Amino acid sequence: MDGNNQPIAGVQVSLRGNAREAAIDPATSDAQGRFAFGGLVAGEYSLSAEGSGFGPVPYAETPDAFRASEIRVGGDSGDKSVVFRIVPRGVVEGVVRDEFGDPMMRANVFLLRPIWREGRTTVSSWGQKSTDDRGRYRLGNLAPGTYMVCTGGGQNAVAPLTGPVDYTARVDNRYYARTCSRALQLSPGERAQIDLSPAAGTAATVRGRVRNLPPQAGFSAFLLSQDDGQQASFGAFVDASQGTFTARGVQPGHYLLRVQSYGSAQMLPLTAEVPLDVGGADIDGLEVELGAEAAVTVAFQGVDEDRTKGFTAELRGVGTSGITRGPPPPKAGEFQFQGLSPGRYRLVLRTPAESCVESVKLGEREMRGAVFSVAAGAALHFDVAVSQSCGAIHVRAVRDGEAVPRAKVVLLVSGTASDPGELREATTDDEGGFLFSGLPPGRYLLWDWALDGKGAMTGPSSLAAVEQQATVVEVTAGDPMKVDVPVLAAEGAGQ
Amino acid sequence: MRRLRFVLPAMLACLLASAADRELTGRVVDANTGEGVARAHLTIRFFAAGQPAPELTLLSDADGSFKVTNMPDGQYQVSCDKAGYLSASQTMAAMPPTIHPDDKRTSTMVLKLTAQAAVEGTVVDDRDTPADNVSIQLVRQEVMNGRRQLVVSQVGGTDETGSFRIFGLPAGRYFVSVSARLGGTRRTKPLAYPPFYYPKAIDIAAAQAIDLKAGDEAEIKIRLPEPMPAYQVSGVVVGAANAGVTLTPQEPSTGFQRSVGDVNWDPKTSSFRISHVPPGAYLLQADVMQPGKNALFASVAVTVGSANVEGIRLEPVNAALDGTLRIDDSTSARNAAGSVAAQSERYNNMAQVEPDGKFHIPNLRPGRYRIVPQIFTQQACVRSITAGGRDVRDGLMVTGGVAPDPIEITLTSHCGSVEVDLATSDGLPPNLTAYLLRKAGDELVLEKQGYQGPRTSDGVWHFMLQGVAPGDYVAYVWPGDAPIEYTNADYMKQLESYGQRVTVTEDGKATVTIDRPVLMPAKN
Repeated sequence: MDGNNQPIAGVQVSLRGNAREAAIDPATSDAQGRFAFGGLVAGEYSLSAEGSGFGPVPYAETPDAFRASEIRVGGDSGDKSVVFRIVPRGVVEGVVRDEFGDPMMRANVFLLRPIWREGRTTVSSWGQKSTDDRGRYRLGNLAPGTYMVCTGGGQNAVAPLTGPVDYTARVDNRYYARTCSRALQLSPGERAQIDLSPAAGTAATVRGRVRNLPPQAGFSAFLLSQDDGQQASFGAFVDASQGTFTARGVQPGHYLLRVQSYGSAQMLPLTAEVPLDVGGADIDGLEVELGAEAAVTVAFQGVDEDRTKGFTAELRGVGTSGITRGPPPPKAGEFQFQGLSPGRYRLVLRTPAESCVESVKLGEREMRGAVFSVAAGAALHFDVAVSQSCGAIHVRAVRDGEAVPRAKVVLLVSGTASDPGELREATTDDEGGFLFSGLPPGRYLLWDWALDGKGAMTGPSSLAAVEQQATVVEVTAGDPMKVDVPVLAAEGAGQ
Repeated sequence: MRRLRFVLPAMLACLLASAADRELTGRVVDANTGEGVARAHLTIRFFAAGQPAPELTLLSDADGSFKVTNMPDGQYQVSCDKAGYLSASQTMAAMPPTIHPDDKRTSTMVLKLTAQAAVEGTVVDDRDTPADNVSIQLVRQEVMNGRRQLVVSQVGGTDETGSFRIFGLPAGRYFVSVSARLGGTRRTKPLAYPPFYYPKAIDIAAAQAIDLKAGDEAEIKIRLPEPMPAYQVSGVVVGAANAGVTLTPQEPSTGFQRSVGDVNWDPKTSSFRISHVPPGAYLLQADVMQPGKNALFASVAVTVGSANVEGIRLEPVNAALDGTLRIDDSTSARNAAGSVAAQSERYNNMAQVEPDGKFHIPNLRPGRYRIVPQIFTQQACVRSITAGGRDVRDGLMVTGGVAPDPIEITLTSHCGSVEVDLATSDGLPPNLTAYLLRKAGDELVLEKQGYQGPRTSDGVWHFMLQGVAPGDYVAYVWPGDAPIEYTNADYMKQLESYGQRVTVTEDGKATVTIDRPVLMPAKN
């Protein structure tokens, strides 16, 4: 159906199983807009549609752009019927010009969406285009929602100098700063014209020295941006004989300086990570002390090589803007994280739907959801016990006793509202429900928020602010607990 | 002794002083009008050993000129970009130090920018609905290494309104290759758009060329043809958990491929199913890349008529060539050729020659290859290339699966030389080059080429070609950048009257006189 509840014929609808089965042949909607898939095995599926004038559109697209709604098929519920609404697509287009009004050719234009994730509002990249020779860009096939477009920033956004240049006194620090439009509410079918002109700014040179570089060793130094929506990194020129490094053209922002040594095979690699705030001024005389790389092993007990599907382990740095280290391929249920810098981390573990994490032991200590310190050179081993007696919560978002479809649900799995550990987020289905499964017995906090039609839901700035409004659930093993969670007022609407 | 002590610091001071007042001035001009181009982006890049040197980016001023003072010494490159023009660059050599510290050492350059051409347009499907995600490739026919081939110049794609724009094109003759997938409802049906050339040619010979001059903006409207009934090509890749399977139309081209169909790969059964394949003649290829192991390749010609093609069995193998390089005197063959190449129309695979003269060229796709030792001295040339006693100097088939006979390359130091003389007249281009061609099967092969020596007082240019293997050749002279299809024997027949036969003997010196250079390429 379209936005006015009129059926659309001739739409190609694709269904993909979330377990890796063979491809399912797509279906086509008929004159009444109907389509059907038969012979499905029970499980979770995602649905998308493609038709004339719109690209792939996910089923039940939520303004929370990063969460596709899944359809649960099978069990006792039998056939599943869904209404697939396709809202007209919008366009953001415009021209990028430099400070002289000349069109900027091959300038990168980033499309961002503010989202609420991990307990805070952040912006996330939603697409990228490069301008043509007339400085034009066009980002089409956009769902209604909140968007921003940005240009500039990054290591290649060098702004040119004007007039005669003295090479020795050259300022290699002029750059086009990341310049963004205001957040824009894109209505269904809207065509928004946003012209951009990046501001030229002053970048800094960051110089420093590694205090304890082993003889004969080389090293690398990178500044990794910790700011939202930025994937910029600045490599430094290094002089291994002096142990010095110089990163030029570093744009103001919050960074993590990562230094790593390397050498012969006998030499242990050393590493350090230092948070660094860069303003417009040069930074000189940084002193970096390297420590031995640490390692963390996470062993899921009783998981052998054939049954590793669905198990994941992530290690998140604490205080480093949530850098997530992707897990290396599991070896018989064992995840190994190597080359870690000393620091504070938190483990986030996932298990297949029917099981849950019962305990996470570091030696004798229970560490489930806890933040732990990793010292230089340390090798920590976590034993994870997996239990089959898990609980589940079936959440129903309600307002005045009525179910609210497409509400955002947040479940605090570990940590506290003021210092959240693992959060699970979901969007309620057409009946206002969502099932969180694989939960170890224990106490959980739940919230949900309604989304307005324009995707303005950006959540509270901290969960601590809404701790009192949380719905508290004691989960026991067995059948899903049915919980009605009242919908809270959306914050940040119309940002 | 005293004097030396005095001179050294003085020279050093002089060097340091001079390094600091090297200056670059220049101007960016429109190649056509000669007028200055304002606010062009200039990037100066020094070639520093080991490390990427910091770059400097500046703008030309209102009349197109620019100036950089206190440049360091060394070789550097200035590249220039301006919207609406093709990029240009110029390399400046390192300057010798000056004797007098007061000398201003100014380098001057003029960067001529040529206006770009652009092609834009729209694509609609056979029902006049805008077609998105259509791949548009602008293809040029170029002559490279004496062979006419299709080369992709620029690529673009349509957005959801069916529009595209491809810019930054140099002047020339282009063909527009269009590859589209059926969208919406009809994707579920066994129908497909065949890849075609604008306006609606399957064969490039029937395509409409777009001739672009500098500054041209061409606009074209493309309508996709009626979709054709399409079929499936399916089979297995034996023993491969993961294989890259592609189906490409058989086109006599190099460097230009467009795949057809939607490839489905099932790792469990190592089987592939390519749907939406229109009728035609194709090459089916399977590449198996395994980390830390040799790549495996398989290919087979597939003709799709009016039915599915099923049960294809591809057995990827690692085809390799082994051989030995020798030279007929006491010196090591490695002093004459450090590597050996296996060259096909599409691929060029190289391998080092080991100290004992052995070489191993792995990862070859099946096909016909010519073995070319990379000789870097004028004192050596090829005497023979054999495999299992057969002469394979003009090429051999690599099939894979079957280990080919080891290749024996024998070089000789008893090479001949050829002096090509050309009586000159005024108005000849400056980049004339002499070519020695040898017949090799149905093709001609370039044995040697040489640039012109100084013009003598009697008005003759001498081209000295040394290290020529004994044999029979035809010598020609043409400009180094002329698009001559010298590997094509039929094509060269038209130019027969420009060539001169010459026979080279061991240690012999032959001289040929060429009446006139080839200044106009022949018709294809």
